[in-house]
Amino acid sequence: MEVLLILLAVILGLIVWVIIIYNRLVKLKNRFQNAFSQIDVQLRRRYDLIPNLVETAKGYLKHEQDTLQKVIEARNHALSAMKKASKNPGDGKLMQALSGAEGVLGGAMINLNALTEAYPDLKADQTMQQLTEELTSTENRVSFARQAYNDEVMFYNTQREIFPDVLFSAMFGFHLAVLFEVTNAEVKEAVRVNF
Amino acid sequence: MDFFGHQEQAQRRTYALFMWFGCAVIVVVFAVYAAVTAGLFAGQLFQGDSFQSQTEWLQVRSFWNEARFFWVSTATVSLIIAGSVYKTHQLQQGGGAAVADMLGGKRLPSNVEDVLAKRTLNVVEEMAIASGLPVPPVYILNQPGINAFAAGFSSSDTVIGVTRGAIEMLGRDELQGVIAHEFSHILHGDTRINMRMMGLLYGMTLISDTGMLLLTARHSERYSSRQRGTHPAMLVLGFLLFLVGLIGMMMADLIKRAVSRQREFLADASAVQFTRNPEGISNALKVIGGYKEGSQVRHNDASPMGHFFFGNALKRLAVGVKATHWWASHPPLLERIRRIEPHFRGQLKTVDQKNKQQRVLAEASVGFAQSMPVDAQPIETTINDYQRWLASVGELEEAKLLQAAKQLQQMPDRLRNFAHDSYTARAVCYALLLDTNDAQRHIQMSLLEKSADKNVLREMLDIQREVMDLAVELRLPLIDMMLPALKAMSLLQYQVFVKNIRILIKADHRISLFEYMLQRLLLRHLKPSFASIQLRQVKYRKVQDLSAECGCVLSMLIACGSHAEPEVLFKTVTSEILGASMPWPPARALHLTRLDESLAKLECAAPSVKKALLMACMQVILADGLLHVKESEALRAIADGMDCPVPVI
Repeated sequence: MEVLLILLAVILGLIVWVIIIYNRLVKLKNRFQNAFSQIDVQLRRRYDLIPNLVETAKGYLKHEQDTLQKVIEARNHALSAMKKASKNPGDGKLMQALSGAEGVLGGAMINLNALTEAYPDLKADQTMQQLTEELTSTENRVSFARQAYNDEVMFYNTQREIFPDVLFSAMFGFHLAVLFEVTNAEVKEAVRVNF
Repeated sequence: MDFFGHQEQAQRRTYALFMWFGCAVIVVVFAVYAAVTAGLFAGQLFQGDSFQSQTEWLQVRSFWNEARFFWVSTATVSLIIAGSVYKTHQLQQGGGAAVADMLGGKRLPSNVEDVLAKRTLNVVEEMAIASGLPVPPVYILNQPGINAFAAGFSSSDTVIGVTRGAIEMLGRDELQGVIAHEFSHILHGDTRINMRMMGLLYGMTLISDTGMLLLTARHSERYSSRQRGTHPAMLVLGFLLFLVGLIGMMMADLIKRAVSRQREFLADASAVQFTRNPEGISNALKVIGGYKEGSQVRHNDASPMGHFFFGNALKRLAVGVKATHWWASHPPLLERIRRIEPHFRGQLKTVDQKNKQQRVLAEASVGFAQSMPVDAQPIETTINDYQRWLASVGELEEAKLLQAAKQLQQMPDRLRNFAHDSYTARAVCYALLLDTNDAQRHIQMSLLEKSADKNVLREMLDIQREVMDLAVELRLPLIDMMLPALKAMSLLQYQVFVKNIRILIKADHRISLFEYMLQRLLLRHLKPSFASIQLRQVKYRKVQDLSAECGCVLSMLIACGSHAEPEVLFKTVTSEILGASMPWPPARALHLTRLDESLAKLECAAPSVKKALLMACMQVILADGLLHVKESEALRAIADGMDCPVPVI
């Protein structure tokens, strides 16, 4: 009987311990999910700006409809990827899809930028300048929000792999969260040349 | 009752809470003892003589056995205390945000574009700035019911939560009434007690969990069929413990009721007082009454947190039915409405959800650009009576609310947008610290270039003009406004940010009062989001205990004004208002670190001491008949350091 009591106390202690681990992981998970909503806002801002930019450029780039079309397509694709990802931030597939879509959009934007260089009138257009400026600022905000999200994901992932937590994290459904990294189109291009 | 009276009362209610808790623990201990005795007795019955044990207290010969009581009470009390300590610790780690997380809340980014969400943030912001509180982050609960809550230990970690139902179904005035109700809870110290209560009472619920555990133990497939199943005596014990645990939970509910239910009436009344619009809150209550989802919050954890909410989170009130549920955490809706509108005799009309949502959205979209009607009456901005001013600490008036709305409108749109974004809010903070002197500014910039992101630097230069042109009295509201956005940073980003703030301040090797205040406000209110919260206890009950600290604060404040005879003023103020003669601290001793230490100690003073000191501060400010910007900034730093929300002057 005495042994039983001690056993009971030990079991209770273990339960409290597991609850503490569980709560800590929940807290960190909430943190990175909240951090994603910040990215969500910034990306939405960017996706709203791009059609305006394209609309302005249309007047000047009559013969480059193809490039413009690509930008719009990439933007729509990225928007739907973002909407899906924001339902379950950190999910491997969704985050990869978003990163991929963002990479394609980045590439399309670079092409558009390169085109702009060839049209001095377009470059001088006031609306265009304003939009480009705003887009650059938004780009920076996105990367700041992304950094915050990645920091929180890193804390979460580290915690779920530390010793006692690692025993329970999979059991409680705390899966590995995926960072939001955008494959930079420029870098890719450069690599291809080397091959 | 004034702010300090409410604080004193909150203190007494905290003591009462501990007393009730003690009583409940005693009752539960005896109940557990009875349950264990009965369980052991059942064990003897089942096994007859074969139930033998070396330990004498395990054998039931009579109901009372001292050794058994000792073991049972030790186990029970330690279980309850362990539970309470654990929960309190958990709440201290996260503060109000932890409560929002537990309820499944999502933080609303302060730069959100959605019209309804934006409107909610505006309402909260206006009210916070009018009452002199840092703007709390807003969490949204994805629930169709109409409800809201406020949670947090202090103004720095407080969060406001609203359900999706509330922002979709309530018009601006109604929403404002609800938010004002929540601000009353914050200002009157209720949120603090609610947090303490939640931590403390958690242990009581553990008993029934233990019972459940005994009932279900060893049922899993891992045990062989011979081992599986529980000893029948254990089943009896488990069942009894479960019942006893229910008693514990009921007592916990009773305590919550005793401590917080009456506060709902006070908060409703204060909401009317804050907004001068009884219709706002009473209409909100009527909408809840007539809405099919009511104020229900469907969440597993909603039940232990029922006392945080605006309306009854648990039980759906049938439309129009007189609900006098004495057990509920909140008074019945009709009674609440009648206390606001004594002539209300009508029935609650069923609310057409679609229709109401459309009206709310239309109103929000139209009123999106301008936030509040500002063209009311001219506001008395000069203060001539410090008693009246003191009465306004921790209170809100319609006039203040209008003034806050007006101030927010005076702020350039671009600056407001910058302040609501955690990326650009940093740039605004840096710009606020830039020196007016060209050479000094140059040094600051070159230092910043090394340690800050170069893009932020660009944003800073971009917004610099607006920040420099900003009216001085808008600087404080601007800092308050930026807090929710800055709280959204990650820990690493926060560390870099703090480092840069320090670099900027130290660039000229001297700290101005404004720099000091900005740093103090920012660090004080941001820290709880990144570290665990220290609970403040009242340690000093008399002015005499803190005479050196009071002297330091007052003499610094005197130095901010243009007083002809500072030492004489100091002597009169200290002897007349504080009733203590203090030595005039030499100017050399007035170092800002000394001030920091003083404020840290003053935070642990009793409300009456804080009140006396604030009165003395006001006397000092009014002595020369002029209100300097420096003085009002210093006052804010002092009051904020003592956790007293000071409204805009």
